Amino acid sequence: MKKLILSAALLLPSAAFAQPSSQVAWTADQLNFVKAGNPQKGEALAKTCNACHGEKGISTSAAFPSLAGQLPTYLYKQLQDYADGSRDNAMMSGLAKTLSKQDAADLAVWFGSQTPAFQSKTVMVYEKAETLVKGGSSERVLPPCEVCHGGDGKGQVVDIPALSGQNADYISATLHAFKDGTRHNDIYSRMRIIAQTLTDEEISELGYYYQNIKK
Amino acid sequence: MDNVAEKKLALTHFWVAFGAFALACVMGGYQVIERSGFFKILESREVYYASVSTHGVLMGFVLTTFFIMGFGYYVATSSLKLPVWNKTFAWTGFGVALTGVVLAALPLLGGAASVMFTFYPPLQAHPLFYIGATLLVVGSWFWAVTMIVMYMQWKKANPGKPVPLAMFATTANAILWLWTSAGVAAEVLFQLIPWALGLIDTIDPGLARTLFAWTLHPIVYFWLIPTYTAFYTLVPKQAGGYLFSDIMARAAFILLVVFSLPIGFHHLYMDPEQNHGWKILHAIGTFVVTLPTFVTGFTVIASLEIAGRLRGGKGLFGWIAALPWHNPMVLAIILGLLMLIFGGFGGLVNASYAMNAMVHNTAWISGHFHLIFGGTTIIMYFGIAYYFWPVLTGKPLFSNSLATTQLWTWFVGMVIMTTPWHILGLLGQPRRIDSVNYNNLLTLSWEPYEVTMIFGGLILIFSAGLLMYNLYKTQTGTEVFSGEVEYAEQFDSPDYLPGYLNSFTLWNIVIGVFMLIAFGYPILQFFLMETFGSGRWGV
Repeated sequence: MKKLILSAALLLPSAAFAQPSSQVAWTADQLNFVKAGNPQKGEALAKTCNACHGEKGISTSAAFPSLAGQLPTYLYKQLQDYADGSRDNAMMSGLAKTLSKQDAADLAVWFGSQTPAFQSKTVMVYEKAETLVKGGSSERVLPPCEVCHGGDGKGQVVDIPALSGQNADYISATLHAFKDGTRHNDIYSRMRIIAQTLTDEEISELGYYYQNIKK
Repeated sequence: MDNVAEKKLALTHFWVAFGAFALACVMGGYQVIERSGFFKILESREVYYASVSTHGVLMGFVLTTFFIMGFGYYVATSSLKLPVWNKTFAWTGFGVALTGVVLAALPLLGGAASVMFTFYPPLQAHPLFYIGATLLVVGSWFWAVTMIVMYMQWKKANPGKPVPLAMFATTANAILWLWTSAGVAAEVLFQLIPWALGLIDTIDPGLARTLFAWTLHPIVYFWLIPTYTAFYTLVPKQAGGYLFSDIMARAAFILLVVFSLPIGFHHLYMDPEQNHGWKILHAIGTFVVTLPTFVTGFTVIASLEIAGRLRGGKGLFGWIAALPWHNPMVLAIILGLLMLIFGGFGGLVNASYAMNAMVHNTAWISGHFHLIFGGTTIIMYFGIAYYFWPVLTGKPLFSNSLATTQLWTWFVGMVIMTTPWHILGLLGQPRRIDSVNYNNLLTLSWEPYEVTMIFGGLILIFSAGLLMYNLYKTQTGTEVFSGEVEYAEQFDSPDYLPGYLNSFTLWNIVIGVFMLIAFGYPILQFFLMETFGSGRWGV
């Protein structure tokens, strides 16, 4: 009996073993690898992406994100996350598995070099979103969005994504995915923790705020 | 001796210094207002951190370096009665340093160098910031070389005679600066610039912070020594008395130079890259360096007491009232010493490992730093400016009463601003934050102090305006002034001055040994063990 209890006790931690949220580690070699991606090869490869992500990486559908002007490191990480299962998507998981790491770097650099989508500044006021972006929420201990994503929504090194000009519904859908945990490739669960505290109205407003943010 | 060229050299340095000061004061005012969170329209994280970084660089590097160079050139020529050695060389140094400031200003003002004046890797600034900072330091080396050459020229011409105290102190500062700047120079040349230019992929923040710690504490004494020089060599004369002890003054300067260097790890108490044993060693050194400050406090107050009693002051404290409080330099030292008492106490707290842990990276540190540097050090820079401006411009001070008003308002403003910061630090408010987003009972308790600091900041801006106005009006005045800088005579005139109090040879060897002990292995370890560099972070 004692042996049984001891064995159970020793095996218990293995049950708690969890995969890291991403397999991508930003070492100097990894950063240089992405930086050295070939945009010409990326452009050629991107022709297969056009149908969903637009000809120059500007999507016309809310179901698919615009990739133009996005941080190459962020794009590379997402492709790797799709390929190794850290991020799930019926279409992208399969596609990403067909890409080599070099393909992923080439694509990332090409999309990153494209001019991002431009949205004229809206006359609408998204008060709840603006409060969250600029001041966070003291009651919920939420840091302001712009601390990481920048005051202009253009993201930050190494892999904090640019949000400005992204389709509003796509941003909202992403926040909902973080909120319900279907997307879980954020390091330290940062976005999952934040999104869980957001209301549906705030999520919707945040989408429009970043879609229309003045650059 | 015709020293028109020296006056122009010194005055040009001073104007750059105070120009930087004025700009930095406006930025400082913006920062307290922005950080208070009461004026939403002014809030911008990007502008705040660009402003904080620029304010720190302007105050800590530009004001100080140019002021010290200008002060040094004129002290050298007026105390040694020698022309400045190789003026072209001196102007070249000025040009190199000013070019550095302009280069660094571009990314600073553009928000591409919001990494604070301590450089803070792995946050990475634009390469121009590091290159500009390097040129500023290199320019100051021209000054340091000039000071040492002039000191040696005088010694050669006057064998066996004591070097005039003001020049002895200035040379001590030049030597201190060469030792001090070596740390940050190594960090910038071998780590930050190659990294910012993309020549190397990663940086070792542990090594970078260790090298900066080499510089970070003695640089404070580099800033402070002109203030102490004025304490010892100018103030007693202005107060109407004598320097209490020339020998104690020389001993204090030597102790400052020797012991301010091997103690920088008290800036790294909470850092993981150095072992506790090294921190203890540096902590002991940190307490030793309080000794010359105590010696200075004693000697300077004794000198003031001599002056007060010569002016008819009676009783235990009557001599204090008898001092010429209307004299800007005397008023500056009185107010400076008051701030030194409180700031020095805070410094002892910082130097104590356990107490340091409680105030580490809180607003307490900002409060301490501003009280000692912005208070004691800078208020004496003002006193020196009011005394030197008529000499350098050949025109009388525009308004003595405006000068004393300025000194009082600076003192009051600094106390009002830094006292809340000390309290906020004890209440746990972090420093280097632009806003407080978490409302609970603790953070709500910070608000009254946030309001108070705004008043302090506004008074300081007003005071800075008075200074600049007075200096400008003096320069553009029409009356003529023909005085010269007068140095204090000593109360005890020793017949014999030991060689080790009149030379730096022995002390350079001592410093070399101390630095080898204090920094040798702590730096070497980064090359002996496997370490992992960091890529660029943030902004």
